[in-house]
Amino acid sequence: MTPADLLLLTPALRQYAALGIAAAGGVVSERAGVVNIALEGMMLAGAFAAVWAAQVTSPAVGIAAGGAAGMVLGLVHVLLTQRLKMDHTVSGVAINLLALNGTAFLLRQVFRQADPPREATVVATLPIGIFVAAALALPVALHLLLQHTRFGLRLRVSGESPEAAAMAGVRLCPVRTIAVALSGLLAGCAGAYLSLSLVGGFTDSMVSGRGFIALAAVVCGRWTPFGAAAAALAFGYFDALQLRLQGAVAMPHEFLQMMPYALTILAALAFRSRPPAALGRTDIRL
Amino acid sequence: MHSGGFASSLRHAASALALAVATAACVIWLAGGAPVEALAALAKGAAGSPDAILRSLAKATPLLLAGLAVSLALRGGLFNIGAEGQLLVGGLAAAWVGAMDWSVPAWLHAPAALLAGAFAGAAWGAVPGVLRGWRGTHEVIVTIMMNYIAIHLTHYLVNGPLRDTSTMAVATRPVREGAQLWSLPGGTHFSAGFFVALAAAAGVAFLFRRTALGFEIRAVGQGERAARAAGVPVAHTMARAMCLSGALAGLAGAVEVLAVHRRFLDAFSPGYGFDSIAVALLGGLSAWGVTLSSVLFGSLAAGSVYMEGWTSTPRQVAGVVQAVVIVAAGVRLLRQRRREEE
Repeated sequence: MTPADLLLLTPALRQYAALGIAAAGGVVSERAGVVNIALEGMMLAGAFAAVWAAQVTSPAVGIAAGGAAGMVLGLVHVLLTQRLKMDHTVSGVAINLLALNGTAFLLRQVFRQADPPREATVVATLPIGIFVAAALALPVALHLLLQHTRFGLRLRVSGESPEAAAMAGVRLCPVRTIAVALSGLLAGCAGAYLSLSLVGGFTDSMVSGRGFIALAAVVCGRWTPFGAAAAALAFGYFDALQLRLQGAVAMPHEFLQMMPYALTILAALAFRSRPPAALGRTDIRL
Repeated sequence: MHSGGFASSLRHAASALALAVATAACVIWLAGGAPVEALAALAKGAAGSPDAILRSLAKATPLLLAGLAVSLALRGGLFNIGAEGQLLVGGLAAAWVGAMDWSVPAWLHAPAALLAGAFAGAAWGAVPGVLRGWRGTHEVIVTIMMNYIAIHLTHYLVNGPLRDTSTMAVATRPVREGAQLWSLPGGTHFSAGFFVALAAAAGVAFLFRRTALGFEIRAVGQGERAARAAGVPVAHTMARAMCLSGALAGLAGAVEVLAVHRRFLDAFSPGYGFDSIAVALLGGLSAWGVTLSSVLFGSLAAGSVYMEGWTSTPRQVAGVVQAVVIVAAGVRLLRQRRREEE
């Protein structure tokens, strides 16, 4: 194994693109005070809508459709958690369930697939580089948005101290709605990347936990854009590493596959930090 | 959180059923199917004959045990998304103990295997419980990661050291006769496991009504700070709640292995641990509510498989219905809590 192989830049960045974009979505939502465990379902809906739209029209429209699908679920999350005051995690579980079964149902109904289904494939995949570049630029853009704009300030206050925000005349409802919709948009785009670029098609539950890992990256990255991106990159790297080590070391590959998850737990233990103060509260007047 | 009596649980289950039917009809109609025909098939598959009812109850069995697991943790304010992983390790431990060549009396073998499953699940649940209690690490993250670790670990064990090499299936050796749970002949899979699950429901109800630990778990669930001020050992209580929760989920896996498959098949769970979250939420977190909602979801699962076979309507309709029912249940719980506060 050469040093260049150990760097594993290409495979690591491939994984990172999906995790990083989704983790950015997680940061936006959670900094506004809304727990977003629904990233997984938003990614899945995005992946499905992207393939559907790409088949009917073009791959570019596919990305837009993926983002839009994630955004719609984001708005559902806003409706449930902000208007109906539902527990954020419960709402997220419901959205994940809806996306998982809804996409599987539509795959069979729309694409008329037998069970077990062949996946719905796209004719031409999009270049991975575009998404990797976007995923690398995203933390910078998000940092600027959160720290250097009026909207970013309002978003952060809405997650730290909604009472103070209300006292200062900030209307929380639009701020949170935009934040969670943007979160869904990003997660949907991450899903579109998976189906249109990385895989080239849609299969049942193809996101396979990446949304949850992105959420873990948000926590390990202390709810900051750069921190979350670094955690996502680390996870992408370890995932690429375990794939590379399979066959290279005398160890059952299952143990190598466990490694990224075990390391995530250790990272969550090591990088302890305080979440946004109002994260997950449901007693806030909008 | 609220724990209603049996009558109110029944009322909520009935309204959930009505909502489920309406949602399913809408989804099937929107997707261009024939709702009446499909729903008739679903009802027939769920409760159209004695065999169908037994099949529904068999499907409800793991959902009831795992649903109790999620509900127990949730009453302590802990979100156990890890029931799936706890269920897998519990199933594997039960299969391992159940297949042992033992010189103990046969009547001891099944309880020992069940206990092994519960212990393995408890160990799996202890990790997020301890980390949350003493280090404040978010249990949602840890339980999700533990699920993946359990999937890979059981996959390794059943493909490697514990694999039965005499069959093509990726499975452990079959459990010995003494360790098998009694089940009805005829392929409905209805077994003594259902009564184990009912006993567990009674046990959970007793825990919250009569014991100090149940009181402490509820106190932590209603607010950590207040619980600490009242002298409740918060970290210990969280760890214990997650252990008990994991034990129940492990028991769900053990029952499924000892009564239905009679060996550990790789990836045998079609997501019972995840469905159990819906079961717990709809059940309103009371043991009786969870019992009724597990029967509802079990019927939905059995009926949707039948429906798919006879009308080619994808069975995933049932999952969409579950999502809608969770939302409705979540909103209802909230109204209830608000009314209690007023």
